[in-house]
Amino acid sequence: MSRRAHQKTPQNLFFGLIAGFFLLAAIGAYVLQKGSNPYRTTEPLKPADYFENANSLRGNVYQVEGVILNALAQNPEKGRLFSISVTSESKKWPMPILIPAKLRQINLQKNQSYRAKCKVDDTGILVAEEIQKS
Amino acid sequence: MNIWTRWIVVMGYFLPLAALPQEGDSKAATGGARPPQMNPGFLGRDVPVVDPGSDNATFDGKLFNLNNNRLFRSRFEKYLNAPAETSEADQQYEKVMNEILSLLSPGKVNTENLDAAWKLLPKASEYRSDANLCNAMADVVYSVWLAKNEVARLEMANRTLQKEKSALEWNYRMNIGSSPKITTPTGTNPTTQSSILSPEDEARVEPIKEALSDVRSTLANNKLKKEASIVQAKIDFQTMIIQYFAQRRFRHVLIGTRFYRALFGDGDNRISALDQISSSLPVDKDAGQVKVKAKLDPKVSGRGGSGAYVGAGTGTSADGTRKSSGAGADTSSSGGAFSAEGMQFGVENLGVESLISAGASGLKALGKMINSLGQLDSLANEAIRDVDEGVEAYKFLLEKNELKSATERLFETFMMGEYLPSVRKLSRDEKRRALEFTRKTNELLAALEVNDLSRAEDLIRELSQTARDFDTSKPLAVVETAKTVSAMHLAKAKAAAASGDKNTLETELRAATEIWPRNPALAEVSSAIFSQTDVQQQSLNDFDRLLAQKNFRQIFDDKVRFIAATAMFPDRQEKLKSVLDRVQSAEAALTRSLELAKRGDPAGAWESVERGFADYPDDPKLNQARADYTTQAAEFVHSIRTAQEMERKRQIGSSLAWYLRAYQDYPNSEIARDGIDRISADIVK
Repeated sequence: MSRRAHQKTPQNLFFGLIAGFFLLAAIGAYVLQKGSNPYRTTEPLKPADYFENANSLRGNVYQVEGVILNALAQNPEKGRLFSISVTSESKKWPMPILIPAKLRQINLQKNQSYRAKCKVDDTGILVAEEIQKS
Repeated sequence: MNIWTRWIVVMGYFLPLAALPQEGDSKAATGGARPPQMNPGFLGRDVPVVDPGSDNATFDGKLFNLNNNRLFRSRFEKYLNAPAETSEADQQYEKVMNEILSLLSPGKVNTENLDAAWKLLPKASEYRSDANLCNAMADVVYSVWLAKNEVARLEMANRTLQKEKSALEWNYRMNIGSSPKITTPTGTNPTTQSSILSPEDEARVEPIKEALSDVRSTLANNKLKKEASIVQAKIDFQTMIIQYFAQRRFRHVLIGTRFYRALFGDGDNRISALDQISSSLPVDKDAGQVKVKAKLDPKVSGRGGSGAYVGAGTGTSADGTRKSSGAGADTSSSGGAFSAEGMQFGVENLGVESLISAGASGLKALGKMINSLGQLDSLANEAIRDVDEGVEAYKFLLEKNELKSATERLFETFMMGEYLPSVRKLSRDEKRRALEFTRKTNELLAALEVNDLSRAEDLIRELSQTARDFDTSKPLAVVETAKTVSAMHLAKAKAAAASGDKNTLETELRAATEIWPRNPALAEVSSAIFSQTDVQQQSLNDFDRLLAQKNFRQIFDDKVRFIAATAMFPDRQEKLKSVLDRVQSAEAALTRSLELAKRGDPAGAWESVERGFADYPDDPKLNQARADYTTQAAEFVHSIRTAQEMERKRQIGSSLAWYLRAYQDYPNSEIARDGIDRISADIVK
């Protein structure tokens, strides 16, 4: 009887360790995940609202994540205008995003996914305040 | 001056110059392809000008052919239509006339023959051809005899008076011879004394003296009466002969002169009738003379292939007794211009009195030229010979088919010897051809007068076929020239119509009509011009109406008509061009959309129609196609329209997003591409 008890303890410990490991891994993953989205506190933009009336969103700040589609225009003083495809509600919404001149050091490449903190300016254009690859 | 020249001068007083109408009048009729009234002429239109070459006279813009007047034409045609005077009566009349002439011929004339000839005069007057002229002559001869009887009676009376005078003179001498005489000196001359009868003697011889005085005065009066009676009889006879001469009754002139010589055997054949007539005219010396004044201060200019000659000159004959002066002008123009001014022409002191005075002067001058019956006799004989020769020439020319010359000779012969047997005996058949030629010539003149060039041309050809000597070159040249000028005016009218120049069109059409009123092309061209004008006007009205209705499609469908109609109207042409461009663009869009639709690209088809729709929003075809493709590419169309609506509302961000969405749905969209470019550029500017 005692021999069976002696053998039973390591097995439980093993399973306990594995569970603990996974728990730690989950906690770590959660923590890590939380740490990779710097704009997690910023409300994500709902593309449907933007399409409906961008002017009504003027002055708001949103986080936008999407894939760069095309460079639309640029001005050394004002910055670069891109189209970005934002996926929402299983639909792709092409939207314009202006990367101001102050963010000229960031290289934006086509088909790359980026996350940005944007502000809707007076003309209803999304102007990136911060942007990074996602 | 020979006898023939005198004859012409004489005839000139009583008869107008006679000759046949000539084809040269054609120039007159059209004035060298223009109506005569349109030609200003060298001396203007106020001065009458006679062209002896063509027998034409112009005055006040009108042209007259001296020969082409109704009086001559009708008289000549009447003669040509009259039957030949070869009847029994005509032959009898001629026989009587010849018998009278024979009885009065210089070798045969005596009292018996004179009486016999006189008795034949009433017989000759029974015939119609004589027109009672022989009766009138018989009366005048009888008057001469009466005058001669009166002279004989006066002579007998004078003889009686002479006896009575002798008796009275003897009685007077006897009565004063037995009485003592008292002689008293008279005046300062002691040698001149007059007898003084005693009162008793005076009383006794006084009745004798009075009777003697009466006898003497009666004798003197009778002598005067005798002279006056003979002179009056001569003047009456001469007047009758001159009148017959003027009437061209030459055989009556011969009979008259022979009677005259037989009746007045004093050898005095001087013609004093003309002087008598001229002195009997009521000439008012204070009336003065008619004066024709002309002042020439020429300012002549010519240009471009025109020729002009103006000249004046004086001449003196070899013996220095005759002087003449003249001025002439010969103008012609060809392809250029000629003008002259500075001529003043006027008539002074023109009135009845001055004209009577001129007539009296003329008669006196004539009386000096023809001053004996012998001259009249010679002229009459010469005229008869000339007429006979003219008739022979006519017959010969007729045989040669030279109708023009033949007719001219016959006309001249007729005008001179209308009543002579050789003229009157021409048969109708012989005159018929001349009649036809004359009629055609007159028709030609009439056709040219009214510028009926087609008819004139036909007549010229007919005349050239019937008359071998008819010269067609001159009238044909005029006809052809007039036709050419008319055609030129018509061409100008057409050009003016095409360019919409109504004033020129009207002027040119009028000019063409004046030159050739019955030009067949005139009606055609006028009709074409006016129908063209009507069609053009109708097309312009339609264009304006459709433009106001914005029915560009109808304008496009009828573009050929409107392009032609608006060719001369730049403002309308510009509008038409704009309309056609727009419809053309719409048509291109429709065609392109059809192709895209066939390839299963409804968005592209819609976009093509939409781009055409922007240019021509009212086109029903585009609207229909647009509606069809909208349903087929609903999502894309919705994106575009939303984008456009947002752009219009200045919602730049949303608009650009919608354009991007449309572009995403249809990457070939030009509208989306343009919208994206347009807004992007606006954002970064």
